[in-house]
Amino acid sequence: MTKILEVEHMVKGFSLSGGMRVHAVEDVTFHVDKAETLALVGESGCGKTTVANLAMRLQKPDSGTISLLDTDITELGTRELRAHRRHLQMIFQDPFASLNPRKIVGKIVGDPMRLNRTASNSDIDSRVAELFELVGLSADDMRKYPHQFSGGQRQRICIARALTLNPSLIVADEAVSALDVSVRATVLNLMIELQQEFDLSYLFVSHDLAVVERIAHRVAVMYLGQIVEMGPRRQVFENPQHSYTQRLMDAAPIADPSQRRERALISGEIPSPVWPEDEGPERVTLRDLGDGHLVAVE
Amino acid sequence: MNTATTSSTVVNEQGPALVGGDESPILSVKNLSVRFQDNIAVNDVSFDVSPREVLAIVGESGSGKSVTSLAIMRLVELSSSGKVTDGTMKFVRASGDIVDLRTAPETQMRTIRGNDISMIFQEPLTSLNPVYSVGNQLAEVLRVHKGMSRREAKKGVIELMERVRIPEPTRRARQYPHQMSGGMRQRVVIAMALACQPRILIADEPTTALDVTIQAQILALLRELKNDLDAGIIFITHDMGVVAEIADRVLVMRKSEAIETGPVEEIFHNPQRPYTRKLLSAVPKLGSMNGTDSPALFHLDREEAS
Repeated sequence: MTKILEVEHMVKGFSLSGGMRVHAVEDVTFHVDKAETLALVGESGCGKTTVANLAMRLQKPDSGTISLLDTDITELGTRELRAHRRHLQMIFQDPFASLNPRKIVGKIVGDPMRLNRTASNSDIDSRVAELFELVGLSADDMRKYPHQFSGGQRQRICIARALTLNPSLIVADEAVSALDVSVRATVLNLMIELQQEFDLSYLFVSHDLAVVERIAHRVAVMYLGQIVEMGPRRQVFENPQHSYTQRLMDAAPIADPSQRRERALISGEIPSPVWPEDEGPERVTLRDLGDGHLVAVE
Repeated sequence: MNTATTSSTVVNEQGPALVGGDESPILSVKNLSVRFQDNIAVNDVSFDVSPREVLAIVGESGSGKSVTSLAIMRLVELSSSGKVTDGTMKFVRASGDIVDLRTAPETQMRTIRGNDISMIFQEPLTSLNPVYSVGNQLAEVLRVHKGMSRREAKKGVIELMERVRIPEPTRRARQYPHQMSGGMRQRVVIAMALACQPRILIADEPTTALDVTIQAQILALLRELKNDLDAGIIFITHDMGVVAEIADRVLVMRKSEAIETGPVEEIFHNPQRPYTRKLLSAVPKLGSMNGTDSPALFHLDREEAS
């Protein structure tokens, strides 16, 4: 298996006033293989979005390394990064906020090629038309503005834009969370089909376990900035080993009334990732259960 | 003009609800229609809510589910263009009086809103005043609606907060909304809605902004509280997973019409309408991929032309 993205011992914190520090990502190690979907799951504040942003190198980690296609991109500056960013694209949660309302969508989708000077103007138009067809839109839609599309169509445009430069890895941060049920299913289907067609890799960040079950090959469960369990989706979902993974699975609603469960009325909350400047959380040790199923020792 | 009235293909009144429906309904909505100028937002919708029953109104964006709930509170008319154009909404007050919420005078509605029918929303932060402590805001509800003195209200606030399982209520009561997590804020809003022991609680996407573990706690809390209060809940959501967890009966809405209604098991296991089938085919069911290793496409049920 070719490793597309490899992240080792990545750490990222944010200083707050009063000598406090958010330990957003604490010694995270993972990789994404070619044509594979790794899902990052966890609750608000667990650091999954920070991991996604770091993987895109939108932020710089405090320590650790990020390699993309065997190139260390941890320390690269803006200019050098640009060449590597072509292999790395992102789809965001809100398709209403991630498309410039003043540009026609054909231009939005073609811009990556213009910025990277990878194609002549005439080639750009035909490539954009091809991309529109690929994501289930019509080439005639190229002249329209974002407001003329529905949320699902806009997300398709975002996907088309992400595909423009034939990336190796797409980071999708809650990419289907804002969509209606039936639209969400069609966009997920599109993502799965595109993966199979182009051997795409996805780093799929989501809080929705039922969605993750559909799309992921492997799953990493994050809790307070650390990965507490990671492995093939089947193992993690059918045989969760860490107490937090089990809690998450128990809490997730199942869309079948005959599987309704009685739940204890607990009121627990996730502890804070904020620590005094010279302290920090205890780092977990991962134990290998075989088949790449790692679980934090409790 | 399309003031659609009685002729209807809507599959309502499939007999009484299986759970909590052996009593006469608290709220009985018949042929409700709402328009915003020329747009029909709700078209000929009927449903009942009984004590201790959870009716889930489900549908996608713009299906009219939220407008239906606003119509019950008679809040659509607050926007100048909205109007309830047809139907009746018979509501049984705690006193036993039956009121039609469509025609009740505004002075009477004011005594119903918040007292007999309460509402909670998706984003608790917008329901709370940022410049008052949560204890203060809860106390205000008790003083205005229940006529409590300051001292009584102070005690009542702690009881309410304990009831919705907010830990350390005395300390928490002094906090401001921004100092609390989303789950705690939603508990405060629920405490506020329950302060007056409403007959009906309308919950519009109350857990959509919350994490799954917190969502599970809030759903369990709502289930317990409606039994304690003998209240009915109208639960508005787009999340079929949540519907499966909490609903007794389901009303499926689409493009301002009620497509199908029935007990929750019937809707999930034996949906009658193509749209309901299509909706359910798009819902990922946790555990449905057990025994497989690879991702799988949704087999989307194609909806016949309707």
